[in-house]
Amino acid sequence: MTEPPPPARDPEDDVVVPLFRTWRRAYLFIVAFFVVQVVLYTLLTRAAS
Amino acid sequence: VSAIDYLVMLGTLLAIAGYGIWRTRRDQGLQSYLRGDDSIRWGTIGLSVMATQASAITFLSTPGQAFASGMAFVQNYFGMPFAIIVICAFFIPIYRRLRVYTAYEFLGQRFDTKTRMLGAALFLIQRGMAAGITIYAPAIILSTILGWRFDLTVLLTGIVVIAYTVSGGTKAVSLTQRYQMGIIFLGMVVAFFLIIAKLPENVSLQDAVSIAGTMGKMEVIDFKLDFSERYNLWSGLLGGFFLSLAYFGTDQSQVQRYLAGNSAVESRFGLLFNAAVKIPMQFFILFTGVLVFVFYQFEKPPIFFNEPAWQAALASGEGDAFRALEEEFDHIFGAKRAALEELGHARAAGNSEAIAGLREAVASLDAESDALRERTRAALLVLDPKTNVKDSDYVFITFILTYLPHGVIGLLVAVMIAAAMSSTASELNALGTTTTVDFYRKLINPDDSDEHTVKMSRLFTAGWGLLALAFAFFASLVENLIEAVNILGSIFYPVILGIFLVAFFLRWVRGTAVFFAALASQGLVLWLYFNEVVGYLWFNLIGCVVVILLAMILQLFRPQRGRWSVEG
Repeated sequence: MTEPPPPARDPEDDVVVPLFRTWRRAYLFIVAFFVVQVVLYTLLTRAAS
Repeated sequence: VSAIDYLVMLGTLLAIAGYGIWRTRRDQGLQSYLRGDDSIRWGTIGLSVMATQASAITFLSTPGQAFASGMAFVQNYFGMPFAIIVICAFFIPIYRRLRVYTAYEFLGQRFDTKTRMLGAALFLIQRGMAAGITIYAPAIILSTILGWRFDLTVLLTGIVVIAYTVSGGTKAVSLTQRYQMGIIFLGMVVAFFLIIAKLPENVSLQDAVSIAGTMGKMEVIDFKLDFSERYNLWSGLLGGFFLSLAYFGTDQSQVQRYLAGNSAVESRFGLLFNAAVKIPMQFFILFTGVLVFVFYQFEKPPIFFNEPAWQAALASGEGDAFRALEEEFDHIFGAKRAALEELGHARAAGNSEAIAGLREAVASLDAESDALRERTRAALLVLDPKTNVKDSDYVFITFILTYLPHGVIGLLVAVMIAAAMSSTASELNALGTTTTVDFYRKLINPDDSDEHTVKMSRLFTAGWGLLALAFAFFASLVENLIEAVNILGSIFYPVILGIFLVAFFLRWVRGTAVFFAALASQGLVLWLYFNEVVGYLWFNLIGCVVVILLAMILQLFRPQRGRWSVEG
């Protein structure tokens, strides 16, 4: 709208990701956390039936 | 509901709304009003995204859903973490780099004005109607069960939301959602521990899980690929993925939440917080419902949870027949409780043969009880075809009102209303912003000053709020609310998602091709809906795939102009 045109390369591309260092590792953490949950829910389902 | 409950409820809700207005009381610029400002960090974004998704129905219906059908519903959210990763990796960098206010503004830059208008219009139609239902759904349940006047409930909730959303814009919405989520977490944790405390003394948490398991309520995961089963791992992963991709990636009420704040790091962390926390949270809410179910194995539940509707049935000419059903229900309940107590003794004694026999007896009595409830619902429908027989929505609130102490009741009713308000605020905020940015500023008055544009945005937000209120008043014609919202979503989402997927991943396809593909696909989905050709969940796949395929085919017959890139 009234803002200047975007720069060709966003400085955010080079930002260091807190906690995980890279976004790839952050995404891997989410996937791993999901897998752990599925394992736990499976064990719970088996234990309760 | 006592005076102390009203004090807790009104105090909490009004304090949060007042805080939102107070913190944003100074005149705001356009950027701050529409997108929030740099003070919004990832924690607030994360809670804001969560509060937008969690409506009152989440807290009213989800425990009831677990009461009726067990924990399997949690699988519906399994696709969400993966969709969020795709959004963080592909959507956010481009939204951020193009500095858009709305997701549809991106369509304008990627394709052309007509595709942007189409995306924005589809969003306005769908979200505009859904906003009415977001207010209506809790109002009808709370007014029925608490004896409040429905019109006043809708009006008061609606006016408070409109007040702080119009006054403070995106920043007020995000700030209030942080505290609304705080109240929601607090309320649900208090309820959870109180339910555990209400279980009989000789029933531990482990026993409760085992009892629920005996009656088939603890089947969290189902690995079988069965298209007739509503919830299993595969439908949750696949269906949940596309639904979440459409919702978090293209719905302005969510996009606006994570574009608040000053960097892509905050946006991504806010969303990833949801990717991590949402499934455990849904698990926790469902598990609370399962505990209510176990509680009602020892304390007699009503045969039908919508008490006013049940009393009306008893007072009707068919009253005797309903009383007979209730007696039969009481009889089964007594037998089941006795069997459960024996099962407890057998467990303590370690008598595995008795345990197996008693588990079978309990499961069979539970099935009998379910069948009787089903017969009751059918009889209620015969008596009055307009009765909403899905009484699982009333289970949790009935439990709260009957067994929890005063003060906590007020807190939990505040949880439901806070959830309704937080979702509605995001919706109105997004509807107002989209109308301003994609229509007013683009088509009607492109040279308007920022100051006047903020005024117009306030006006549009208030207008959408009033429309949502009007819709809520007339929504009683819709029988099943969650279903109505899902159907609405399934009609419009897939086409919008198709447009965005083409935008992000098929960069050689241009505006005209995707525009006509989207129109054709929307026409097809509406035709499928009105002619009842397939179940509505299939629209999500069909609508999206048709846009993508048709856009590719149409583009092949049009002059090629190279690939689109952010730099243009």
